[in-house]
Amino acid sequence: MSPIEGRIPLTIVTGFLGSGKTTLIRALLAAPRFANAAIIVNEFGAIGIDHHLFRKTDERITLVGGGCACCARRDDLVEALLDLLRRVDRGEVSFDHVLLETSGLANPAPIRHTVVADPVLSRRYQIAQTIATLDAVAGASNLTTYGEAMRQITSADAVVITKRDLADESAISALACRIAGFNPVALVVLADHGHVDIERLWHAGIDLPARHRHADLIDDASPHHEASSAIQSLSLTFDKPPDWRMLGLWLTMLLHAHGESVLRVKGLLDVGEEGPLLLEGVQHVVHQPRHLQRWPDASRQSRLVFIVRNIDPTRLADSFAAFQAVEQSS
Amino acid sequence: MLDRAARARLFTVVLRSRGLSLQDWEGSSYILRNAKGSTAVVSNLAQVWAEAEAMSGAPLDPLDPLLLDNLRALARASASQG
Repeated sequence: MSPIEGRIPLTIVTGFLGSGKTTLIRALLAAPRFANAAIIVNEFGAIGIDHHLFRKTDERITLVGGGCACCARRDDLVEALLDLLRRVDRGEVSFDHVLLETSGLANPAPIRHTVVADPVLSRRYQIAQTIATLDAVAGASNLTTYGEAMRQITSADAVVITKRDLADESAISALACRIAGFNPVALVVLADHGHVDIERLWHAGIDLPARHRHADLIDDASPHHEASSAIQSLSLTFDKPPDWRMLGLWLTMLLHAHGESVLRVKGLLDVGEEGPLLLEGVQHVVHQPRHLQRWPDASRQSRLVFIVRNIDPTRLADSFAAFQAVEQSS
Repeated sequence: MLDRAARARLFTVVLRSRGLSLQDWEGSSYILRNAKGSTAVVSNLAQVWAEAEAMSGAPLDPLDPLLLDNLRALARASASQG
């Protein structure tokens, strides 16, 4: 697997307790794209079990146990990632990708932040994508009951609905609709007896479907939400690309004022080059934008998706438009 | 350098309603200034908002209706002049 801008791709695999993260990682490891991956397993319990379930050479598997890597064990996660780098630099181990399995209770957003904010890790690793697993049987209930499960889904680039064989089609369809309602950024795929389309998953990190073909900033504002949920999303597409400098200003101001409420920002922006600029933000953190070599689909429309909590998406769209109008008139 | 100056000008457009302005400082940092001439140095643009709030004594919110009204008025004025 080729590095991203010279950095080692890091895929975060998250999902609630018992939702099938380890099974998914085993499926990923069986595919050529991930065959030479190192694995970091984070477990809430002090004694890890999951890392024994992988048939990999031991030196490429690291356990971060005794708490979640998003909070109590954050320093341990940093050390595990640094240790992998030290060992690869000494020639003791070889890998071209890192798969990080979070604990079932982890929030992936601070984990991303840990990697992006660390000067060494951010220079050597590039977060390729976050994949969340959601149980077809217990998933709907978990989303309603546990904030952790919801945060995992809203942070994801792809959601894998697991245990498809145990649920009926209508329940799976309803679950997929629910996921799309509060995370339109995410690709939703089904796992059948542990089998999943790896190629589709691999592209999830840079994909952002242009769902809205008619680009008018305000008329195209399409808030999605589910009843009784404070989480909503907003998708914007543009015929004329927004000014990205003003977009950057607006985004830093928005995250400064409402970082806790902006769960996710993801955008593909036409900046006049062959490929788009990939913009990603999770809560208070905006990642360094990435220039992609090509657009992920036939559309070359600039697009932005927001997932917010307790913010009216219409106000967000109004604010965005007001800031852009000033730039265009200045 | 030109890009930094252009970015600072954009920030000033938004900060003007609070009596603040932003300037690039030799390509290494930015200077935030209020109407009384007080200044603060910020190392990057993401830090501008916290410092601007400290200088103006009030939160800065891109969803604030008054701020948005100011920006819309500014856009209309610029458009009519243009």
